Amino acid sequence: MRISSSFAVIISRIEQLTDSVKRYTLIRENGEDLLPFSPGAHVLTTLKNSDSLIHRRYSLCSPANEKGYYQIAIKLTEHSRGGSMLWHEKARVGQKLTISAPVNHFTISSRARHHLFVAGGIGITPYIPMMQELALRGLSFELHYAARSPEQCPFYEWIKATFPNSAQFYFSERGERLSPEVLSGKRIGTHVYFCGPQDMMRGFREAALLLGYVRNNIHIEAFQKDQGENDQPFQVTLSRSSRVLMVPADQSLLDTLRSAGIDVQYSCQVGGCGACQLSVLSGDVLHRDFYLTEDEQKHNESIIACVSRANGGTLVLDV
Amino acid sequence: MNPFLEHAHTLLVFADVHGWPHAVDFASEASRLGVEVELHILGEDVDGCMTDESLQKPVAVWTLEEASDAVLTDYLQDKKMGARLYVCASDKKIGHLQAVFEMAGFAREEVYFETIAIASHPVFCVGCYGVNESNGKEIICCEHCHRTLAVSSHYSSRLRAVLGYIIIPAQNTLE
Repeated sequence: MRISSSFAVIISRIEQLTDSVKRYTLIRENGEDLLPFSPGAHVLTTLKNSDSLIHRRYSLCSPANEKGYYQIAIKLTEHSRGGSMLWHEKARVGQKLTISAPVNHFTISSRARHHLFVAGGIGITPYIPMMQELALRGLSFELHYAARSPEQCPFYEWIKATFPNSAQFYFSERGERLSPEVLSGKRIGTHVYFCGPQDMMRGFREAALLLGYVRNNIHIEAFQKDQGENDQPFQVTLSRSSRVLMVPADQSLLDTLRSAGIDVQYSCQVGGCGACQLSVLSGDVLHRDFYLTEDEQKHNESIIACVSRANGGTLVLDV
Repeated sequence: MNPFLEHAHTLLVFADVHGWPHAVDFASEASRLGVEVELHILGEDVDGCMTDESLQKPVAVWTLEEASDAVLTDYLQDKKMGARLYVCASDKKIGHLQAVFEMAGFAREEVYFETIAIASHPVFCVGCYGVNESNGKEIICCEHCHRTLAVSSHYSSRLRAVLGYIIIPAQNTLE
């Protein structure tokens, strides 16, 4: 049986979880089973908007062992680039859309003896099936979840009721702050997972490294690239072939290299996994990734090709 | 600074008598960087181990038998994130410890192994004709007949082993 990389579903249910978050239930139109997924997976959704298609990635927040439906939860963001606004204002029960097969860059580590989840706002979504899976298997985890208030905290009541001893909440309207201190003093074999605003993820990642967590024990789920508003084109020289390429303002270094026939490995394409890390021989890098440490970024010897760019001037790469 | 020690808070040093000098050097470097150091000796030859005056005395001796693996695992899994393991020993001991460390929850990046190669030869016991391993020692106990053997430098190409001569304990012959 040939499995397509994308397929049609319909919205079977829409629920208002908070005043800015809705949960959408997706099923196959013919009622067939959906593809299985591992906790932490996401799908790329494609919705039609008058004359264009809007593509957005959302974590699956339904149980991983549920084959009949998927669920995603979407926050209407203040600075929506059109995706969340389209979902919130135009999506209707019965509406058709296309989604990709589930993809997972944020898996539960099988080596971990304890899992520590850090969620900011809508960043809770991948943890829902992860916590369900770990609870089913009797494995150890804890959740630290920051939101504005209980009313603006998606899944708050459900998490409190389902995992009463494993979850801690931090509400900014009450002056409560989720600090990286929660990472300290954890037993050996602890893996930490971060999903939320980009600044929060960066801060927690740096803190984890300083506390002695090794890189493979730190997991980050980033859906969006750290977009620059005024990206400039730049030149890149490939030292091994002496080829010179121009990276356009609206294209990533990774895409430019691949278009030129250079075989560069890649995976998440949002700066989180490090698969497209390349060596820099000269030039100044504008780093926009979540993968390199602050020190590594300062040394300017590496670049994460899917998101980072030259900081003016030319880059010479060991490619 | 050794990159392995970056952001380490505690260094657990495991070494046997062969690896001890290297282990002490590494532990001293860690101690100078402000990393808390614990020293552990593998095997019974503790008399062969010396510690630098600036370091702590050895904390424990581990004999690496099955019975002690569970105790070692329990001990290690209480350690906190930021702990690192440095192991300097013969490859046989390291092979054994790798599994113990993984069971305790240490990631590969948190463990630094330095293997000490020991020239080990098959030793032919001239008493019972059994073959033993020298394990780098000059005096061994034959596993088969339990006689004490001196490992000689006499290599038998037929037996593909060095000869192990029986050591007769000194006796008082005067009556």
